[in-house]
Amino acid sequence: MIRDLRVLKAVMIKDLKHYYRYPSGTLFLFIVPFLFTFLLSTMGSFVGGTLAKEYFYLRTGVENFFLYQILGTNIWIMAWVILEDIGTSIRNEQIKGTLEQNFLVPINKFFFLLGLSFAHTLLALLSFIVVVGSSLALVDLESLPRLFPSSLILLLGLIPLFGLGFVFSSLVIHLKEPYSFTHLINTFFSVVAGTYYPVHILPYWVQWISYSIPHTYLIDEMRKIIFSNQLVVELYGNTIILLSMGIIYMILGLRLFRFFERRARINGGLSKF
Amino acid sequence: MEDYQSFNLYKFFIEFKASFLKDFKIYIRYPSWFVSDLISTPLWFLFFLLALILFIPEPSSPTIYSIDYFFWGYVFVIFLATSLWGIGHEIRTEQLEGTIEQLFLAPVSRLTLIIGRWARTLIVDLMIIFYTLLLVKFFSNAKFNVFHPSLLLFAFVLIEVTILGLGLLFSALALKMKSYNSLTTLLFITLTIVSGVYFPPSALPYPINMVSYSLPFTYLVDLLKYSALEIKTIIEISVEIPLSFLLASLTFLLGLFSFRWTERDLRKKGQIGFH
Amino acid sequence: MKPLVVKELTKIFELREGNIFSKRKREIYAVRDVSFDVDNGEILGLLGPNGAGKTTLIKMLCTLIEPTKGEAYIKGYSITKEAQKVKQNLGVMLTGERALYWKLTGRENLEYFAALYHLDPSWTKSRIDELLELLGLKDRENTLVENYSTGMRIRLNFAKALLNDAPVLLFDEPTMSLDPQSSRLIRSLIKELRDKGKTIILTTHYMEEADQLSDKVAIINYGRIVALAKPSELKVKVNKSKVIEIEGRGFERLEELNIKGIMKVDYKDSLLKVYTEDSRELLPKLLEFLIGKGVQVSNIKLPEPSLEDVFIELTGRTLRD
Ligand SMILES: Nc1ncnc2c1ncn2[C@@H]1O[C@H](COP(=O)(O)OP(=O)(O)OP(=O)(O)O)[C@@H](O)[C@H]1O
Ligand SMILES: [Mg+2]
Repeated sequence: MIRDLRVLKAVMIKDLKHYYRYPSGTLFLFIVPFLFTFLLSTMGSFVGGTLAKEYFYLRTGVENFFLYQILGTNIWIMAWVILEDIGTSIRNEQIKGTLEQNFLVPINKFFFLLGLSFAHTLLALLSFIVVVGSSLALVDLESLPRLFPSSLILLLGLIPLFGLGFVFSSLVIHLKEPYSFTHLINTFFSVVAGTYYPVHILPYWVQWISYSIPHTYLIDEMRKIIFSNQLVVELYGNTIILLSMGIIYMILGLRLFRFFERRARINGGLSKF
Repeated sequence: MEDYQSFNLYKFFIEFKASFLKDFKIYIRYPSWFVSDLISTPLWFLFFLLALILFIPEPSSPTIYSIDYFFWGYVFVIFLATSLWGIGHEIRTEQLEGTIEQLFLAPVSRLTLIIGRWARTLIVDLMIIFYTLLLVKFFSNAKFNVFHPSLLLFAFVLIEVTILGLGLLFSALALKMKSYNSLTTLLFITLTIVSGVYFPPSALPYPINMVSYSLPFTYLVDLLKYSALEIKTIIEISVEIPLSFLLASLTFLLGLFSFRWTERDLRKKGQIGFH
Repeated sequence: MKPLVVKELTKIFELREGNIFSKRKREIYAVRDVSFDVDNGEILGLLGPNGAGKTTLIKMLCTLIEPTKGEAYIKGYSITKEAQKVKQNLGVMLTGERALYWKLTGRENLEYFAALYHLDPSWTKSRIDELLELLGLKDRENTLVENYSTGMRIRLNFAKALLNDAPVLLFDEPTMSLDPQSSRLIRSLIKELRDKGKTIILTTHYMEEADQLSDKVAIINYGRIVALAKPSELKVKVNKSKVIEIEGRGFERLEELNIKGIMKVDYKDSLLKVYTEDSRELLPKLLEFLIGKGVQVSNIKLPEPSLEDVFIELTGRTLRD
């Protein structure tokens, strides 16, 4: 067990070092949300003209559309990065030829993956606090304390996201060139999760998909906490769903990962690229 | 350097063809990107439109005028993405996969190779744009009347020259930067904001719109929109046309220059094949 | 002018080490003041331990790395000023299997590079056929390179280097990770190329390879050429030292063996080993002494020094340390 923990630490540190060495990758998580939100807000103001703010309030019940959008952007990008990075990190090792080395050591794959996720948990939390926290502090100081309960929800929401990340990374081992696929799915998730709008404006059948991915619940619960000042306990419905999704996606992800890893061993695809 | 001096049309054609075919073959053989682009390109467009719906009164479809407007902006964004990822990032991939040294070993101009790659991306882009246009037209009853077709074509050509220049610039960057991918996203979004793609630069707050006015893309996009939609141009159209031409050529030269400089620098440091 | 002339070529890499807060500059002399030339139909073997600067030297010659100082001429073209001409006259094979497009087939790879080397289209097909045949890849020409074995990739890489039939050829460890059979094939091809009058440089870690193939060997250590001569001449250089081995009976009768020049004596059963500075000078005296003592000598050996001995003597390092 202790040995496993050491593995976990080693993998995590390796990944964090990577972020430290290539700081522009990390910068990305902190700057891009602002830029993207700025782009969207300006588009919104342009389209709505002088009444943009009023229209937006009528539709969403939220006065400050910048805050509304930056919350969406932050979660969207975070989820995107998690889903893609776990796979990418494996893929990069595949290209550089170090993946096989990682598979040569007698470790439990679960810890290997978990180590990767921990590194990302740290980053995700940090970026949430910096991006959403600073926006709240600037725009609506009163609601800043709500950052704390929403961070807790974030941590909970990360679990199913990691599960999905594992599903993706198992596909990497299988498909080799996964970016096209992750890109597509991530785009799709962003649209159906109601990143910038309430899910109910989507067609009915699309909402079915919306409600089967964690993003939707995560965003929804965050909005309720931050904009309507609801308490986490009041939102137990969402919380329970996130929790069970966490369990389901985790198990699914690990299963698939093991499955594809075995297949790769059988057809010798571990080092191919 | 003499690499670029002795221009020989026949050689250029051979190299161009080889590079184009190689890229095309690999692209066709691994169709997942094409499929992904085919689906996600319209999805992104939808993503933006849905976010914008909240800013206009019900009933909830944006006006036809604005869909056209955003579509032309989106076309430019597609080209921009190509130069960043399709051209710039590809060279990084060659570096990672180790083939880049071989390209530098051959007695060819790297410029030609990049032009070959650009040609491949252009074909694919045009296909995807056309297909997206059909989709949007089908779902939204937007008209897509073109105000001045030959001017539109001219704007396209200028944009492509610029894109090629940018592609060279980004190739140079990609060769120098380890973490090119995230930097690219940053650049991409920044350029999308300041080039007045989805709104005129005047919609931007003061110091930022000054940046817009000093970038070539602003005028190119403006020209594109003018020729398609007859929207009032930033400056007098008779000035904007030659200005765009000048800016496009300058961007191309800048790309060329930075690529050559980087190449030389990497030679000095012995880092051409670096991962 | 010989087809390949190197004059005082030097490469200093500048490295920055440390983290963002404290950066130190460090200079690495990868190649220092190297000069030599290679003639038509001649093979120069570059021999050196890891990190000696062999690859750096090769890469400078093929213009992938710009020298800090010095100059080299390939067919009279300067590597610093006439890069394109130089490349036209070079066939290069760099280390490793990453030099090819894994997502193209073997033939497509060669076709691609043939175009980049401006091979006459009418000649391309037959040239590629010929090379594929030569390297035993003909029946796998339409397989994607990603499904090749390492050895096949290296052979294809070798074929790529021969595509343009260049007069000067550079091979960086051409037989690395090849099985004995493929190595032999590559070696014999290299010899054939020499016999056709090509100018060849090859680096290697294998002594016998350098010994067998090279007309001249340059031993390179810490970026400097410490010896440059025919393999046989190099061996003569170290011939002075070494050992005399004598087989016979009656060694136990010797109580002491103190002739001037003997450094150390070992003996076991019927074999006597005498270490000395210069075996040729010692031998007559030694024999006289032994026979005088009534030793029955049945065999005398003066083991030829191998290139390896030369190498260790000159660099103080074994090849892979
Ligand atoms: N791009 C570079 N930047 C900095 N230092 C370098 C670079 N390339 C090589 N070196 C250094 O130059 C020296 C010579 O390296 P080189 O690769 O030429 O050795 P080599 O003789 O080919 O070794 P090997 O037998 O291991 O292939 C080494 O100390 C190496 O660390
Ligand atoms: Mg080497």
